Amino acid sequence: MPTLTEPPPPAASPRAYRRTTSPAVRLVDKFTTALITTGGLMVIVAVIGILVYLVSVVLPLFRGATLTAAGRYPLLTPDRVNQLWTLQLDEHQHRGFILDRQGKLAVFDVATGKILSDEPILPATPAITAFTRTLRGGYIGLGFADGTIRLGRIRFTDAGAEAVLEDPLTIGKKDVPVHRLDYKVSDRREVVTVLKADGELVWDEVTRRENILTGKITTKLAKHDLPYQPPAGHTNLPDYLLQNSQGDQVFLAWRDGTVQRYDLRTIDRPLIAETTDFTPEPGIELTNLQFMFGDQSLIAGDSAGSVTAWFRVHRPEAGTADQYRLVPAHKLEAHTGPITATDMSTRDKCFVTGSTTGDIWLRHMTSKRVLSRVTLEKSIRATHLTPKGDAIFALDSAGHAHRWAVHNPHPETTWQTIFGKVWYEGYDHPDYTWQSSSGNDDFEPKFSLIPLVFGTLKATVYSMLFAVPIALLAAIYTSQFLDKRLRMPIKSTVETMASLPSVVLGFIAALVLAPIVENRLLQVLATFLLIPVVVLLGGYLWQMLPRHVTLRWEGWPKFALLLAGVFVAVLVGRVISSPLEAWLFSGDFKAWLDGRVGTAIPGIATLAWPVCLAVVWYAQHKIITNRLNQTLAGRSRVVVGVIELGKLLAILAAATALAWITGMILTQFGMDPRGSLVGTYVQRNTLVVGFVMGFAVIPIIYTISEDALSSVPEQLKSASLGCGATQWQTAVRVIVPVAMSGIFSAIMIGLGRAVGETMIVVMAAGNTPLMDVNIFNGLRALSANIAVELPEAVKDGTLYRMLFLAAVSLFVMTFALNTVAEIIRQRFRKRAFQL
Amino acid sequence: MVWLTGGGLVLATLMIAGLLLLVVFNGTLTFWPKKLTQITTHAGMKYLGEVSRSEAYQHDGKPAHRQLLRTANFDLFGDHFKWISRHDVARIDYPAEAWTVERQEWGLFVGFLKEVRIDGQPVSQTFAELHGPARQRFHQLKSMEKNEIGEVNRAIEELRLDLRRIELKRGKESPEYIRAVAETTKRETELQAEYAKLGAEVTRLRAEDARYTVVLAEVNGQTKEQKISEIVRAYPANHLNLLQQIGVYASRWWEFLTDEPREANTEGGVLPAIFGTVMMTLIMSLAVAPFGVVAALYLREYAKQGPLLSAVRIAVNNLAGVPSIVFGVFGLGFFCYVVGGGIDQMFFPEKLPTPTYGTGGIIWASLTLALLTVPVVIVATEEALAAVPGSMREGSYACGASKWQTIRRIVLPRAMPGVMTGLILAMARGAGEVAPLMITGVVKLAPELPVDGHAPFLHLSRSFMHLGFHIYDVGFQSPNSEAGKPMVYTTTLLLIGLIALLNLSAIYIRNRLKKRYVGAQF
Repeated sequence: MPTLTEPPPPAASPRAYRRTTSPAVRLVDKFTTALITTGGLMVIVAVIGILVYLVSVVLPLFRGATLTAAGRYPLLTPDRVNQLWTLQLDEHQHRGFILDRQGKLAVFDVATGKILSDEPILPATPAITAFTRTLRGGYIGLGFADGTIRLGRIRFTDAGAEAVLEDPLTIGKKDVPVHRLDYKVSDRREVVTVLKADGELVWDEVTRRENILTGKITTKLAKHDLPYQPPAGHTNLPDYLLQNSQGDQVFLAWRDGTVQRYDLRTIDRPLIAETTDFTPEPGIELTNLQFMFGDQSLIAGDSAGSVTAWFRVHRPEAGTADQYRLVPAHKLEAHTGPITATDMSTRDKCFVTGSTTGDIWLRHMTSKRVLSRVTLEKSIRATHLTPKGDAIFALDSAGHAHRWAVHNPHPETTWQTIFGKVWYEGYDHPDYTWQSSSGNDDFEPKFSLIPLVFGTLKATVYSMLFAVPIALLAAIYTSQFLDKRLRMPIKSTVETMASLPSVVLGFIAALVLAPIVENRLLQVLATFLLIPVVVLLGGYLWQMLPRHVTLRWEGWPKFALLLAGVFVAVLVGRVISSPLEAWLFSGDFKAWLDGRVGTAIPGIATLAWPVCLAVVWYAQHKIITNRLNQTLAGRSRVVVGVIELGKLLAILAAATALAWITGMILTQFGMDPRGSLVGTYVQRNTLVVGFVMGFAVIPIIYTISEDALSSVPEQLKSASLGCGATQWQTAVRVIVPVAMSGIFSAIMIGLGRAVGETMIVVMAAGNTPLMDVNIFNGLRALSANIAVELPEAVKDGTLYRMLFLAAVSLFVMTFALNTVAEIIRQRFRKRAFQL
Repeated sequence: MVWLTGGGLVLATLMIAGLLLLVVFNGTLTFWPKKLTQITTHAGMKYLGEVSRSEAYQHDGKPAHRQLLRTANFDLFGDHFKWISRHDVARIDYPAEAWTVERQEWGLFVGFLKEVRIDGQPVSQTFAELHGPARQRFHQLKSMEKNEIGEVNRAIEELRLDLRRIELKRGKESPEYIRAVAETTKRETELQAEYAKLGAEVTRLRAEDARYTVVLAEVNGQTKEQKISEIVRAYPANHLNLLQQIGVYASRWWEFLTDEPREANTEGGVLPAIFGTVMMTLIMSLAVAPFGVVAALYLREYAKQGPLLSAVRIAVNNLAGVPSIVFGVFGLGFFCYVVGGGIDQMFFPEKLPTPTYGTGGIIWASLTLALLTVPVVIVATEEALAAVPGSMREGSYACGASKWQTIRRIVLPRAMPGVMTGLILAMARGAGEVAPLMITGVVKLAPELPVDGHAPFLHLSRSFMHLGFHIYDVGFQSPNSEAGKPMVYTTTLLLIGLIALLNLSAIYIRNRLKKRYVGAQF
């Protein structure tokens, strides 16, 4: 053994060693330390700042409105305030006007309250007896004591405001005063309904014809009489007459709260559809009744201060003449005093209410929110919400005007509207709805994240159902049974799948897979069920091969045989799908899914089959396995193989029989999977999405769980095998339990990826925001929704912030999943290390 | 039961292999010239076209078979494809003189070349003789329109912006502004004159170009006169020999890789998309590399190890699992609107309200992806740093090296393979992401590349095209997705190839660097 010798002393250096570090080196060192520390901290802060920024964009959604006082001045005399027909401001808050019962139009400067002009727009006689105006466009209708009406328009001009009135039109008997009228103008039609003092109720459609030569416009009324039948006990004429802009609903209301609804959808046969009471408590009077913007909901204010939104829903069981019924869909927070004034927004479902106690509240109908409140000393006589919704103008009983600037960017969102059921106009019941845009002008956007969260979960669940078994089985096989020579190539093949862009998978899903699945639905489904069965059978046949053959074929040949097994399954699926369809599903699977043919038995049986198989397997394991093993001990390999194969076939048959019986029993109890778990087939559906998304998730689950399985210490395996356990027993009872937490974290990480997957869902899921568990129907996931709608969303609008909220929920969901997975994995590592 | 687990593995490998084969098969076959089939039906109708695919279907309750024939000639028929049932077919021929004509507009034409015309008169020259010069004219025209006329337009736009800048700075009444207005008007008239001159030249060239035409006839005899210059490629599909077939195949690939798309992206090339993808990936790696490495160095070498740091580490790791679309949302909100909007306010007020940086663009898309991939780089670098043995650091310190010297000379070189691998994996991930790009600046058809001959040469604010988005757009948004499908396959092949290349180079670099440094270990 050579001995270590001392190294030769270094050659004498011509220079003396420096004992101190040069200042330059020190400076550089300090500098880089500072640079890297700040840089590193900044990167980390930036990365965590993402969540902070996203949340900061979302937060304004939940803030109410703010009102800032913008001026107050005396505008009218107290007498005149009680004589108001209407109060309006222009959209720039530059000029305003009031119209009083004497027909005088006073125009004033909004900033100062100076009256600029105060002129009558009508002759003194005949007296005005009724007035109406449209919410938008400034159209007005006036009724007179001599039984005539005049239609017209008040518009803001540069100078102030001008009224243009058409010639009087006589309605019904002459000289019978007009009691109430309502006039509506929409793109399609112009309608006016008039109630005369003698109880004559007339519905007219207004048509205009322009004389090409003279340019004179003649107005014609197409007249239809409506039956006037006041409910019992109502001798006086109604206090409110309202109609919607389609002109097919007319409402008469009395102060005691009784409301009579006419259905005029077939105008030749007018119906009094129902009579209902808006103020059921005794002694409470209806003090205000107005249409909400969109003419679907009625906002009723009463003398107790309550504010309720009523609209018409389909209720065939209610027994009304047209099968619809008015329901108090939204009961809003009540004022302390009677409601004296309301005004509706002309752009959304916001409105202002004023009460005798001097409260002015800005509210939103659907979210039931009171967005902002102010209180004045005097009772409120009139309120006005400006056309842009950016100011509130109010007159109190002393004739003083008050103005507030309104900042109200997101009135429609609350936790309740986003995550709870909301009763939107025209819907039969409260529901979770996502519908962010529509062609209509008076459309109300519906922002419920629940259908999207549901879609995300649905896609995730179905894809995990597909991916988890395959990935775990593959991982177990690779780590425990696969021939060493095959391990590397196969593992890296599966891992390459992880780097496949998801847009490619989405394209394959939608353009290649979806048509195939659509054409051969049953074949695809049958193949899925057949693959495990055929592969299992293959395993039993393999057992029957002589031992020396199995040992020699352990590598590629065995793998090739497995491949052949899968192909056989596909082939068998192809062959049996047609007879199966004819036999089980009356020859047309899709018709069966629609519920048009067949009974529920085959469906339940198919769904119950895996469960039944597990039950039968468990039962045989408890009852006959031990006895069988004792009898078979010492027999030859082939004999045991044949008997085991027979046992398997018997189990399969028993499971099928059990499943069928279950199906028959459950059908007797009226159960039918159609309409819930399965149902009408849509081309872009969850089956395809689940399949392809499973495809995207498999490599992740596979890689991580394979690592976990492989890192189980070798001595555990050796000990188990040494005690006489088979390879399978070792794998299932020793390796898998030890690696369990690693496998679990693999599944969690896979789940995280599935939740956030975007392109596959965008392309293959059909993007229908439905809440339907049917696997053959589409879905819309949070991620897909963001990708589809964000490019169109207006910056800082409600939709924009809602999509940010969707992003935040995705962020939180995946971050939580991954953190849990990471913690579990670290614990697992520690434990595996200790073993 | 063992076999059941084996079945899982086989299924997984089979699916991947199947998918790759499908893409490779369809992608490589797309450009191979197909034969033209002439089908005569029992009703006496004749159809000529490429057989696209065939399928079984139910006809009157009986199983039947039909073929999808790409009859093309959209301008004459109003349709690209026609289903023909097998039981309708009376005769199938492959007419030798049938031609496939690829056109600049209206897509494919299949039919017969009847005659070549100059000035409307039939002439004896063949199509092949005239096609070369005609294409040259076409490219000349296109380049004139794009470059020279584009130059003048740009100059006019610049004048307008200069004027607006002065207006914003000095006000409308200032003498500077009044002087500038006069100057601008003068310059503008000059430019207009130049524009008119160029316009006349273009008109002349166009007129010259229009003289050369070819008369095409579809199978039932209907004719169409077509400018020769607008024919990209034409070949007699049914009597090409193998060499000619390879020629067509190669020329199509060449066009695909080097030309711009036409016909709503369903034909032509994908050069802008390749360019956009590569450029975006490059900018992304430029951004992600220093930040990722610095953050990892801080976490591993400088920060005090403790529970807080492991929490930070877990958080950073988990960011890699946050969906890409979330980063896209952040990118749009923060980069495009906050940062970009700020830049616009400060540097480009004259262009407002048209946003310059305040909207989607290649820089914002790249930065978004950088943010998305930075955890990948941090994790990889950290692991590489951790793998450098502590003894080496201690040895270095013992020799009197400072911390930075140690890191720079000893630690970083040894960690380099890991860092590079992380970086390239990040690039591979970035190149394949589409969802965040959809909201931060990718477009289906970008008018201009982000790099051109005009100062400052690199236009980071421009929107761009991307291979992944191209797949989505052609496959889903295109009005004629059946005709676009082969293109999608080819683009997919290209994208997968690009990503595979990046992954392979990661492995290669890792192996090489490992070899270099393994020898240098103690």
